[in-house]
Parts: sequence; structure tokens; C-alpha cells
Amino acid sequence: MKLADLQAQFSKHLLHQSVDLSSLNLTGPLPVEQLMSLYRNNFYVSLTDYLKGCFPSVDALVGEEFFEQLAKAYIIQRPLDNPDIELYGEGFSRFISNLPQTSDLVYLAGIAALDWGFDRAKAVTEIASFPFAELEGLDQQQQLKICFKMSAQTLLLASDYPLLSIWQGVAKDCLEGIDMGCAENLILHPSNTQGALFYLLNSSQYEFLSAISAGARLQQLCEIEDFQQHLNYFIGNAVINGFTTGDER
Amino acid sequence: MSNWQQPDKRKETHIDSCSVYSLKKWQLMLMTPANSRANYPDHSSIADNAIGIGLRSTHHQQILQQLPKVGWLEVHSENFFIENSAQRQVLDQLAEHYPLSFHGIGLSLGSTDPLNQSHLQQMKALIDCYKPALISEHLSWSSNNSRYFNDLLPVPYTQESLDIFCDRLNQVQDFLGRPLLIENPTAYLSFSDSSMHEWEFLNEIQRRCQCGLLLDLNNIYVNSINLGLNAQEYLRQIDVEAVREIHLAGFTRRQLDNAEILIDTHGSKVSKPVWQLFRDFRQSCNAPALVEWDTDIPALEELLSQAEMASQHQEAVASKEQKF
Repeated sequence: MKLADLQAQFSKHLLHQSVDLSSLNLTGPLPVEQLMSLYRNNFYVSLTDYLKGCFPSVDALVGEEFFEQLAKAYIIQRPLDNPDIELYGEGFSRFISNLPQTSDLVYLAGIAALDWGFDRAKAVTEIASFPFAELEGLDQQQQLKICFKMSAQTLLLASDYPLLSIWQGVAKDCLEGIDMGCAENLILHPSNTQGALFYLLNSSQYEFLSAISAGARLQQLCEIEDFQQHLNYFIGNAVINGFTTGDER
Repeated sequence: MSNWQQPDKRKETHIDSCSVYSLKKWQLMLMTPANSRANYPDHSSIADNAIGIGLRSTHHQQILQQLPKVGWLEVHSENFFIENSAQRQVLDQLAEHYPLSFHGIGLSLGSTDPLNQSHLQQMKALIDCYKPALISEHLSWSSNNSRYFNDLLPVPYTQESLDIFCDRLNQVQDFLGRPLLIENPTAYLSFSDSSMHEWEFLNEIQRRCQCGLLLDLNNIYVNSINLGLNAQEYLRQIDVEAVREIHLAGFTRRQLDNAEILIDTHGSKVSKPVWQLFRDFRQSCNAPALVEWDTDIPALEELLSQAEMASQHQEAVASKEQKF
């Protein structure tokens, strides 16, 4: 058997696809099926452990057995497409949101997004300061056309559920007293001094940051209630740390 | 979820003109270590017989605070690809105090897939930044049809595998501008199609690519038990001059049906038989050695005591040699 065919068959087996193992001409101390299961188990266990590390709140909410099934489904349906495992969890929240088996757990995808956002924000070590000097170089008409940028790894979420309360409750192992009917808008972002920060946003703050996220120009942002206050606050907290001119759009 | 499956709980030998060129180039580079990073002490090489430890994130802060006396540190390259990350900040500081070795797990050199250029570029950027004393990868594959398996999968020891592996390794070495060390793998099975011993395969890779070898003595022992490989014969047949690094680690025993199999978990102390292999091999090889511990990671003190034990074993070998 050619090496390419052998590796294709081996890979299919790892991904739980039907393979005639006898064609691989394998030998060893155990039946071939058991030997191959060692490799398959190592593969799943290592990726499952990685996902558990990235999504501790999801793991705590659903329990070990459910999480392992969730991870297994993710690994099979969204195989690792990069040798660098670091970003493999990127699509886990979206995967959960589309999975029929989690349709009753309406807040689970949001919790996964918070886990991932927290994991990524923690990894950021330096956030650039807002370039005020560059802004001063623009005339008033040019300034009105600028689009603000939020720092990398900033997560903005609007949920019909009390996501942040649940997420923090899981961390404290105390979910009692949470009003599940309470919608929450929240932000999670890296911080130069505190690793990652997360807090609730009022509707005006959320509208402001959503507009920035959608690429609104400064002249459009001016129409949002408490615009100046929001701008100062989020620049001060390094959430907004850059801008592009309208010409770059 | 009830309808889901239950998760599986268990848990050529021709030297063409290009090769001659490569041979001269790599020989030169092996004799002349790369310059160390500007403003850092000269950590561009690792002393003979130096004992190092594998650096794991749980020990980062303690090592930074205590700066334990170990000869060198080895890191998994892929964990440090992201610039301006917390990991890189730690590495920046440790590079001031220790020689480094970069141990890669993602190049998938034994695969028939094209090399992942993005991964290779990230690796080069990391290497160019820190100029580690050693760079290593595995005799294995981990990708097929652009799918990755986060594991070190076994290669059949055939002429075709050898040609593919050497071609890819030459590409990598040319791109990086440095020779790699290739580590012998653990395997739980072998291929009936294999036409050569693992040591022959490794020696031939080394001869054709002018790379170095990283000999993992735990892997040899695990394979000797699982696959009936003769460990002593392996150590006699491997090209000792090409071995530039030794790995020491622990394994886990697992009972499956009526057979016991050793799993290369790197999750326990180095076993007595592996210490014995180390003492045997130390009589002919003074390459730097490393204690690896990747799962169930212990307190730093226990890892350091294993490194100290490695020093004691090699001192015992040295003193015995002096008597003769």
C-alpha cells in the first residue's frame, strides 16, 4: 500500500469512518482494532483535555460525560485544520449554538463564548494606547469620517439570558438566585493591568460599541446618547485603542 | 444526548549534488552554532552531559523566581508562536538565563501532505528570534488531507517513507537554515510492509539529510516491551556520533484484555530500566539529556530531583570509566 493511501485510511479510522484495518498490514501485541483504538483514544483525549482547559465553565455546567460527547462531536465534525492547537476552540461556541443536542441549553453557546473570550483576552500582554497624536493631525471633516477600532480580543455580547451572572456563578460554584429571565449586555476585554475585564453594559453603551463594531463613522456615533461620555470611558479602559480614516474603508 | 455514542473511556541512499551541498552546509553549521540573541549571554550551545528539563507552563513562575540550576530548558515550539503573548514574555526572561531547545510537534514530517508553510514560517520567526541551541522534531506524521491529529502517528519503515521524510526534512532545514534533530518515536504497532529496522531508518535519514538525532530512551524501552524490539541492539546500531540529545521520561502500564501494554504518557518518574539504558548509552554518548514530563505534571521539585538523578547516573558512569 502506498504511504498516502495508508495515511488516508489511518486518518479515516481516527475520525470514526469505516476502514478495512486488515488492509493496513499492522502487527503488534494486541488485536489490530485495540491497537488502533489506542491511537484514536489518545487523539480524542488530548483534544478533549484541550477543550476542557479552554471551556471550564461549559464543562462545569454540563458535566464530564456530556462535555466529552460535545467534544467528540466537535472533533469529528470540525477536525483540527492547523498543526497549532492554540486556536482550535475558536469555533466551539458557534458549534454548540447549532447543535440540536444543546437546543435546551439556550445559554450554553454564550457561556462558551465567554470562556473563549476570557482565554484569549488573558493571553494578550500589551494593548496599544489610543493614538491621540494621529487624531490631532486630522481636520474636523476628516475626524467626522473616522471609524474607531476596538482592541483585539474584545468580546461584545447581547443575550436574552443573564450570561455574565451564570458565568460568574459557575466560577463561584453558586448559581442560586440568578433570574434566568434577565437579559444582559456585556463586554469582556483584555486589560494592560488586570489580564481580562468583564462587566455589564447599559443599553446606550452597548449601542455605542455595537455601532463601532459595525464600522460606524464618528458622525454617526455622535447621535448616540451620552456619546462623549462613552468615548472617554472606553478609550480610558483601552477598549477603543485605534481608528481608521474614512479613506481606508 | 442519550442517543449519542458513549465516549470511549479507555481513555535511497544516492547522494546527488544537492545532498553534497547540504552535507557541507550542515556540517559547517553544526560546528559553528548560531549567534545568540543580542544582549543575551551566549546560550547558543548546550554543554556535553548537561541535564535539562522540559519547561511546562505550570512551572513558569517558579522557575523565573528560583532560577534552578539546570543545564538547559526545552520548550514545545508551537506554544510560543504568538508574539506579545504571556508565554513569549516568560521565554524572553528565561532565554537570559538558560540555553534553549525548541522541540516541535506540528511539522508532520512523515506525512504525504505538502508542508504547512504557515506553520513553517511561524517556526522560523520563533527560531530567528531566540536562536535556540537545538531544534528537534519527530519521526512521525500527524496530518492527512489538511486534517491534523495532534498526535505523533507511526511511519512504516519503507523506502517510500524514507524518501518522503528526507525530502520534507531537507525542505525544512533549507528553509530554516539550520539542521534539525529527529526523535525516535513510540509505537504501539508496526507495519508488516516495513523493510528496515527503526535504527536503520533513522541512520539513513541522518546520512541523507545531515541532521542530528534525538534519542528518547523511554521510547526505545516502551517499544521493546510493546513490539519486542531489542533495546540493547538499538543502542549498538544507532549512529552514536549523530545523537545530539537524549530524552528521559516515564510511561504508564495499561492492562488490555490479557496483555499489558506500556503507554508513552510522559506522566511519571523515569523507570529503572530506562535509567539503566541511560547508563549504558552514556558510556558512548555525552549528548545533553533532558527529563520530559508532560502529563500529570508534578511539583517542580520532583522534576528537578529527576534531573538530579540523571546527573548522578552519569557521574556513576564517569567514575566507573575512570577506574579503568
